[in-house]
Order: sequence, then structure tokens, then C-alpha cells
Amino acid sequence: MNADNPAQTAYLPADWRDFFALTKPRVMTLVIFTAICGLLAAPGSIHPVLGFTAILCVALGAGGSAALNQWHEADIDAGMKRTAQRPLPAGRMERDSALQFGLGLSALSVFVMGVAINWLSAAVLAFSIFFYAVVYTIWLKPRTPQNIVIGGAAGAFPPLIGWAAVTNDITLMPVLLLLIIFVWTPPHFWALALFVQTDYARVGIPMMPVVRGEKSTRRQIFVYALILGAVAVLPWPLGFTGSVYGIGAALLSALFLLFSAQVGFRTSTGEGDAMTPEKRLFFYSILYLFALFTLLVLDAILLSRGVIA
Amino acid sequence: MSEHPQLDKAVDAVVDDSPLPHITDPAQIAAIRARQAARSKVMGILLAALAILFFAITIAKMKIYG
Repeated sequence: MNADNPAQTAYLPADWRDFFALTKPRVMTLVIFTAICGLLAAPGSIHPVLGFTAILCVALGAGGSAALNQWHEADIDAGMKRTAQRPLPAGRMERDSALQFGLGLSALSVFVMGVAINWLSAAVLAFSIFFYAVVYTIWLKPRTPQNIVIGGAAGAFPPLIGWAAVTNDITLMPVLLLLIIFVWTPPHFWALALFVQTDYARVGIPMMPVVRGEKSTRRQIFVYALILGAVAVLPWPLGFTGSVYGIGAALLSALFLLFSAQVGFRTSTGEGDAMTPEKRLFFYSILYLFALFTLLVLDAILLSRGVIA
Repeated sequence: MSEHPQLDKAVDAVVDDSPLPHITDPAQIAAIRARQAARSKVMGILLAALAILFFAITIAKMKIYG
């Protein structure tokens, strides 16, 4: 395939790999992982086939909403180095195909979730797809520098959906899991936005560093890291988890706070700055979420077997 | 050749014709056919997997609800 010359490949129907790429598989791994953790940490049990189906539906829903996101942002993606080679801006796929694929995948995920698992988790899944594709992508992202803060809620739903798939109920604990990802999202994305800000500025997306400036963004990263630390540890004193999660979450959050402070209180970032603290925070934030949710599941297993109290 | 030569001719016309009327380059036609074949194969595998999944869901639900 010659992506550099769309005219040369215009006659070709889109490759199946391009449809797969539309689902943002790398982003999906975190979504699937947190959904699995929500499902495993929930009280009660679920038949393995139904558990697999629930996670598959979350993955399909995330893929569908990612396709809808790329359908709407094809022009913006074309202007950014990081996204210019995606199937739509590179001219390897027609926009209608992406729209139909995204709508089809989303509808299928909600339908199967409702029929096979329960309609509560299907409703939450449908709402999260709507939230990401419409509220975040179409409404907030081009309009406000707070886009990431509110839009981050869309990515925070998977553990709640996993939990609801098992219990058919929404209690305070899955809402806390949602809150953890919700508060984690701004420092994670703003760290990224700090070292790719020239790209966002070029296509007119009002990311925080572009609109409010670096200094304000850095301060807000630190503030969100403080809130994240408190929210991440909260399930322990509230009695929802044991000490394995509580102590682990405290240590992980302390390191998150340290890296955020290194970003938050930096002053000079001139031309040629390698942005090392920002990159470190961005990559650690991914590791942080994986580690935190792994601890959550481990803690739930140890509690259920009576190893810890 | 069957008893319906006209129908056979019409089927052949659909099957053998260029995928897009304005494309006559054999290399381009071969590329389109290869792409269509790959997509059909993937779609077939996905539909089969979905059918197996629905079957497994039914069995699981029968076990849970008797």
C-alpha cells in the first residue's frame, strides 16, 4: 500500500487492517484492562463465557466510539504529525465507511451487552459511547480547554461497566473507580499535550497549554495529581478494599505526585527542550493505572480467600 | 454449460467484469480482487466467531437459569 500517494490507491477498497486501526487498539488495551479489573473486583461471580462477552462488548464499544472519533476528526488528524497517517487523513478509506463501521460496532456492542449480560451495563456502555463520540469529540474538544477534564469521564466508564456486568447494580465503589480514571485523565493528557503542543496549536484544538499557557497547565497537573492521590487511596479507609491495595495505592500515588511536582514547578522550557519530566510523567501515568487496578484485583482475591482482613 | 445460456452469460458478465467499469489495468483489478478477498475472509471469520459466541452464550444462560 502506498499511503503517500492517495490518488494511486483511491480505487482500492479499504483494507481490513485499516478498519482495525480505526478502533485505536493501543488505547483499547487500557480500556479492556480496567474493565476486566472492574469485573474481577466486583463482589459475586459471572460465568466465564458471559464475562468474556461483557469485556468483548466493552472493547467493541470502545472501538466503535474511536472510529466515530476519527470519522469526525479526519481533517484535524490530517494536520497533526502524530495522526496524519491514520486511515482517513492518509486517504486509505472513505469517511462514510468509517461512520458506518463506528455506528455498526457501537450498536452491536450495546445490543449484545443488553441481551447477553444485563441492560444496566448496556445502558452505561451506550452512554459512554455517546459521551465520547458526541459530548467529547463533537462538542467539547473543539470548544474548551477543559475538554480533557470532562471528556475524560468517557474513558472512566469501563471498570463501572465491568462491575455492573457482574452485580447488575451501581454502588459507591465502582463510582470511585470511575472517579480515579476521571481525575487521572487530565494530568495524563496534559503531560502529553505539553510535549506535542505545537501540533495541537496548528490545528486549533484548545488544549490547556495552548489556551492558558504552560505555567497554568503545569500547576493544574500538580493539583489533579493531589486529588488523584486522595481519590485513589479512598477505597481503603472506606472499607471497600484491604491494606494491599491501600498501601500500594499510597506508594504509587506518592511517586505520581513526585513526577507531577517535577512537571508542575518547572519554569523554563525553551527551544530544544527534551521535555524529559513531561514524558516521564506521561509514561508513568500509564504504568500507574495498570499497577493500581492490578492491586485492586489482587486485593479482592486476597480478601475473598481470607488472606488479608 | 447449463440449460440457461443467457443466465450463465449474465453471471459470467458480473463475475468476470472489471470491479469498476473505468478500471482496465489488470494489475489494479488484481489488487482490488485481492483486497476484496482479504476483507471477505476476515468478515467470514468474524461472523463465524460471532455465531460461536452466541451459541456459547445460550449454553451458559441455560446452565445459569436451568
